[in-house]
Amino acid sequence: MKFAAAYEQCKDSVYGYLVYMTRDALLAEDLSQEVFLRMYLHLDKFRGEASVRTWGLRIARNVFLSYAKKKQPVLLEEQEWEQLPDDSQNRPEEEALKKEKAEGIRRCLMCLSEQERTILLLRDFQELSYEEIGGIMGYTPEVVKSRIYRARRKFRRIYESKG
Amino acid sequence: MEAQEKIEIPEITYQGDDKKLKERIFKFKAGSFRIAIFTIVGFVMGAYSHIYVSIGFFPVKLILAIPYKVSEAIYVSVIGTDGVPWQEGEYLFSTVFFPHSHIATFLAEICTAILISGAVYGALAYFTGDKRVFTMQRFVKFGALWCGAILLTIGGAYLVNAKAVYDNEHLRGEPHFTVYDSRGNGRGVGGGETGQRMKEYFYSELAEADIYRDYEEELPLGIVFNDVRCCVCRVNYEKMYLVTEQGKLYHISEEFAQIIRQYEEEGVILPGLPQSESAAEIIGRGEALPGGCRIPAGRQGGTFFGENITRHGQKVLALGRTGGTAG
Repeated sequence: MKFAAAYEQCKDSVYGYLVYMTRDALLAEDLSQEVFLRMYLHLDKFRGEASVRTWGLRIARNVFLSYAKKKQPVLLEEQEWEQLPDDSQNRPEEEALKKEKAEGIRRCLMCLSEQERTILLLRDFQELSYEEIGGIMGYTPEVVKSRIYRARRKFRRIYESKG
Repeated sequence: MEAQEKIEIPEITYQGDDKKLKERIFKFKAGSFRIAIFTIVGFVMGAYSHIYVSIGFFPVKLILAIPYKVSEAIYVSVIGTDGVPWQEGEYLFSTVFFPHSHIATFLAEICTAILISGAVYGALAYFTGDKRVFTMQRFVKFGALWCGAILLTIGGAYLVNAKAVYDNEHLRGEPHFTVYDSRGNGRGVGGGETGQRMKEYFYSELAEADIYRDYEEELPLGIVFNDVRCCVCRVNYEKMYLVTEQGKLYHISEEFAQIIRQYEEEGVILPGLPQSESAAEIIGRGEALPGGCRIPAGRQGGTFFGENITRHGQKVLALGRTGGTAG
């Protein structure tokens, strides 16, 4: 497989995952480059047992975990609900609502643990199968199912109480 | 669980350009190329590092000496010089690494120096690379790989040496002898008929023995097995025994003891000469030596070392001391 093709298939997934995990677009861009560099370096070892996107997301998770452990351990923990200043006055109503909802989801995600956040993102954002998620996180599909169930329930509880 | 509704997470697309990534990949390629070139240069330096002593120009001498000295420090600090065969104040084999095994010495003196040099020069190239691409974490992996390769070579050298010492102790292999007299004069016996006969005599009655050693009368006997293993045994021709470096005692045949005696007393190695008669007397008369050896008629007295003599119609070399009384 050519790197350019792998890059095109993965770039949005990897970047999106990292944005949700870090809530920092610049940092996510930097980590994405590290992910793609690793993909470039190890492309010859990619056997095609999983899809390129799954492989890229597995690397992205490893890069994120290694960064968070060293630089920002807080990113691995459940965070307090963050109250943001209301800046929706200057925007059209529909756009403001959309932005507000997106921001609410992001803040809710940050209130989950790293594993809950990852499992939700892989299932509901990346739309991976239970097997693929299990491959990335090292769980069996049954464990993945139950973890997704619990993570969604926790997410909704936070979203409904804070949002 | 299945009935649970999925969470609508807004899509995010990557808006940035690929310039930074391309730049990083380019820097990685360039850096990798530089590391490869530096490593190859390091390999060459390492391969020739053992000649640093003969280089006069100091900077080159220093650059070449580093891998050799590092390698030497590793080995000598661990094995010391206790295992080196020592005779009359000189090393019998010119190495401080593994004197019992040429292969182990090659691994220690050449291969280890090559790897150390490659690692040092490769690391230099690594540190001149882009810090964002060639990170410390990657360097640790890079360094660990080199350390692994160097440790494997060191381990290999020790294993090969241990096997060589074991085989030497059991006198296994195709031997080539260097016979010494009590004054420290040594004479190597190559292949050919003389060497073949010495080998036959050597193994003919060789057996482990329990003999009371007479250290005073022992003479060194250098043996090179299969051209790759060396040892210096001690031989007592009167009591007909041989002691290995590890102290294992063997009974040797009368014929082999006679060769050692002959060299000690007459400075000549002519396997098959009877004890009752000296080589000097026979050679002096210009008569045929036992086993078909003879020298040209009229050749009496003087130096005969390296003289061609004929045996069974073939020219063979009689080995002896130059200027000795025998000749």
